Amino acid sequence: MKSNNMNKYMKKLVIFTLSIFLFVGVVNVKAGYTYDSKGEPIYSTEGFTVNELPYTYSGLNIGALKNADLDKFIEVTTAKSDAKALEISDLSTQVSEKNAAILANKYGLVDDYDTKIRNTDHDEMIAYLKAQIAAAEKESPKDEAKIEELNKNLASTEEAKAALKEADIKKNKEAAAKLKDEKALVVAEIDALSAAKQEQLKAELKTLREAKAVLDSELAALKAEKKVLDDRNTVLETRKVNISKASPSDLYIFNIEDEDDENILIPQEMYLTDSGMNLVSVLNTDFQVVKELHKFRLDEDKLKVPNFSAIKTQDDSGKKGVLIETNASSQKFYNENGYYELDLFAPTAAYRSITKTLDVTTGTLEYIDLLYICDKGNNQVVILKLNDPEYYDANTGLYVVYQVLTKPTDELDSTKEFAPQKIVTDDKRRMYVIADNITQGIMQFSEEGKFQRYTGKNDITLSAWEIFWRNLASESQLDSQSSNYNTSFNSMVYSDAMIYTTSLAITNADGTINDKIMIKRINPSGGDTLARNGYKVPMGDVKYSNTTDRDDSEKGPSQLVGITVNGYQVYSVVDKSRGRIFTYDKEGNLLYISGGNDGTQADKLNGPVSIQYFGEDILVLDQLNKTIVKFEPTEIATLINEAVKLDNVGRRSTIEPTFSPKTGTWWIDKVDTGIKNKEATYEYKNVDGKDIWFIDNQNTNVEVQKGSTYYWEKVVALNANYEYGYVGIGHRYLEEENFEEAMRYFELGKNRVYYSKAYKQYRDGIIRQWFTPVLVTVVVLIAGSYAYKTIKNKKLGIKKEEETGVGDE
Amino acid sequence: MENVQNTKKSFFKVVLDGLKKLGKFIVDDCIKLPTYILAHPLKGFEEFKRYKKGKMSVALVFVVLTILVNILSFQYNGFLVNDNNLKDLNSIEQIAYVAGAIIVVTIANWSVTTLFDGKGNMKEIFMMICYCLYPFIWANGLGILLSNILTEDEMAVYTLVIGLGVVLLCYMFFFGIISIHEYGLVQCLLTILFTIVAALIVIFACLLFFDLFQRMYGFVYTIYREITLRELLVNIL
Repeated sequence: MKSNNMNKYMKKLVIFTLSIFLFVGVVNVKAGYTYDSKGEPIYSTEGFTVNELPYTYSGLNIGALKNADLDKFIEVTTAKSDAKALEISDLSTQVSEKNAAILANKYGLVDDYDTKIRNTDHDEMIAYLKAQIAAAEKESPKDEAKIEELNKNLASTEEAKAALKEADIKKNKEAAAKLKDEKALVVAEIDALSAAKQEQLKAELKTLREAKAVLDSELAALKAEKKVLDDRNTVLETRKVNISKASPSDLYIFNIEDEDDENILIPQEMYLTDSGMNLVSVLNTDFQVVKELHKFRLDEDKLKVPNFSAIKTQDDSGKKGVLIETNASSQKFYNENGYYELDLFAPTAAYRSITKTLDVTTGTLEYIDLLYICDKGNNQVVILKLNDPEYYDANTGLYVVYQVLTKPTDELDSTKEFAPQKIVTDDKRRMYVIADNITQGIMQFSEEGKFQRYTGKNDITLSAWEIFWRNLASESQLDSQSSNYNTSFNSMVYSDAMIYTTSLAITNADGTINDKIMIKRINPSGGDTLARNGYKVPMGDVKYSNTTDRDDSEKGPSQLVGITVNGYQVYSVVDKSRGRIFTYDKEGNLLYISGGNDGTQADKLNGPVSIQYFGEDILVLDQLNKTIVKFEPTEIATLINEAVKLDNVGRRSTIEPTFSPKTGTWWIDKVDTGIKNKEATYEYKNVDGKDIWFIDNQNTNVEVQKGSTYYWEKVVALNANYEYGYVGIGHRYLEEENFEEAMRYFELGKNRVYYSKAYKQYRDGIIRQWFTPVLVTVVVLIAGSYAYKTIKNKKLGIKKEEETGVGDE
Repeated sequence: MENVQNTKKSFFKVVLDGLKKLGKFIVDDCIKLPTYILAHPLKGFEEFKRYKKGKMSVALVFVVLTILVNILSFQYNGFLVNDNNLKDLNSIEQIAYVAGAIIVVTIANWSVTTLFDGKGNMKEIFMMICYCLYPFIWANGLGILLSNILTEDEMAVYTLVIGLGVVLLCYMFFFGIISIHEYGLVQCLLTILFTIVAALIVIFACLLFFDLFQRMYGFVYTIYREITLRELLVNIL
């Protein structure tokens, strides 16, 4: 009875727990969303998802290399060279075995022949005679005559045998000599035949052996290096890093353009700047720290711009070494090794760029590879020259400082501090710096570090009333009320001569918030050229609450703190307040929204500070969690990206096979397939992962060049509420002059401009079609009625005349 | 047989007469008079009031037409000017929107003009306001047509037509008040100003009432829920 009760309770308990799990699970599933054409949030899949655990500081071993001596940029390629060596030894054994086989076959026969001697006949005779003698002696021992005779015979036979043997030997020797001559001939013949080949093989063997030797030495070197790396790894594993001070501030990915397709950027190296640990970690694309930069050698003679006295070298840890000089702005120390050292102090960002420059004297193009580090604590930007042995001290493994951008004293007076936050450069190595508390815009410096101007400004708007009062106020009054600051930028990225920036929303003088120009695209002349042709202006969250509900972070417009642009001008921004990533195309259409900070999972963005495209993926640096979160595009985002890419180059529809009456064959995009059946049908099939055109069920080996519409249709199939997809399809119909369909899709996509364009063409078509018949009908009707009237009038007139005539009479 | 024919004939005649009357009603009362008022507002409203040419039936027809045209433009306005989701179309709401506005303005104007020595009574004010809808109905009707045949560049024409409708409405209302209440210009302007204020007060009062009602309802509902949930909890435990 009791156990029954227990069972009941257990059942209830299990059901209760299960239902709680179910409830929690249901509540936790939060769907992605996007904004529709009216700016209303609607359900949508996320553009990027996190598929792997974020890279944490401890996982990446940030800081472990800081004081290690084992720093070298190396890639381990041992497996590759091992394979090559094996190949060579194989070849050499093959060659020798082959030669041995040939010789054995040819000479084996001759050596056998040499040893054959024929003497069987005589042996038989001797044996017979010996038997006769023995018989005779036995029969009649006294018949000596007979024995003697027999003995004589025997002796003569033996003599004959000896003579014969001698002759035979002689003969055999002759034969052997002859055969030897023959052998020599055969050998010569064989040699002659294979000499060329052997020579060739020998030469090959020789070169291969040389190559092998080289590779072996390389292999040995690599093995040595690998050992060094392994040692370093063991060191890294054992070294414990205190990351309590860590405060990641910036992540920069150095990309190079693909040789074939400039729309593709290939990531090369990552630069993770940490302002708390005073270091810049260089990571390879496999997320391995290859080098950590925190101190540099300072050599007065090697500075490109001689501003040695203005350079600061402090970091926040107390200084070691001998104080050499002190002046107003800086202190310099010799360290125990006897040279100046520059330590990073609260660095905020790193930036690397390779620029071309023409050497006038030699006429050759020189590539300058520079790494810029915003050394905010020292109020300067440290510039290093990479890939130049002159600026690298191999003994200590330290870079020698190439140039330092110090405070522009002609622009900023002593009350203002120069605290660089972010830096980018253009093709002419002009530097653009976002600095703290500089509200006039982005500071532009020349290559030599001379301040040029402010570019791209975030204006506040004054109300008419304020402008009126400001005009009346005296200067001292204005000074006292200068509380309206412009908003400064907080991130930027350089792409195709344009600087993309983000800033916080601007609070105007009258308290209104301008959230429409948080993202800017600044052209070389300083103007904002961001296309805002989407349904809503690119601004992060379109709908937001202005009141505090539960959490302060939920309040107000998005706080965009990072921006990144990929090879085809699609840009993503990250919102600090709600941890979301918004992706826009170059026209300003919102493509998708990803991320979020709800919940405490490791993949949520709680304090994003930097966002970078990593190929097609996105990396976000989270300051709070001290992680790098890798976002990968979802299925729909991949399709959207593909479509946008094709829209950019203007290929909207798929190129289909056409029959050319001129050649009498089928053509696909300038390729003659040679298929002659005019009535043939065509389709594409997937062959080895590629879509190939089949005409008349024959493989043409021509890959299908799909247009953007193909992808937009797939996007719309996945998400029927994706309005911008319909616009993409509409474009294709507009190009094909199918205006009715185009209108339909533009209406679905809520694009009024293009709807109007399509409709105008459609209307013109109808007018063109009906204009002549309507005009002709109208003219005929008018002419007819006129004619009818005149005829009627004439008849009436005649009648009247008659009547009047009668009346007259 | 003859009788049947007679009745048939008379039925036909009745229908015909009815149609004739309807035609006359439409042409004379619903089109000619309002157009005349629009063209000659002072004289028109004189006839409207003194000679009792204005009819309540016409006024109600205009109200119905306004509601109809509002609903039609909600649904059938061209895509270029129409951002509405058909799911949001609520005809009751549309009716309430038009009728409520007219009632509020009528009450506001009556209450103001009673204090300001206006000569018009409430029925006249109501009819006058309804007659003022005449240009608005035309403009919106035309707007539906235009918005469907114009491109975005030409939408200025549409805006002009709709704007003209509103302007003419105000124009008629202005002269209507002068004529109905036998006011001078300054008095008329003052009256309009106070009418607006009065209308706002009426709306405010309504909102206040609804808000209070809602709060009361919410309070009662909360108590109801509290009690039921408690019972539920007791049951579970």
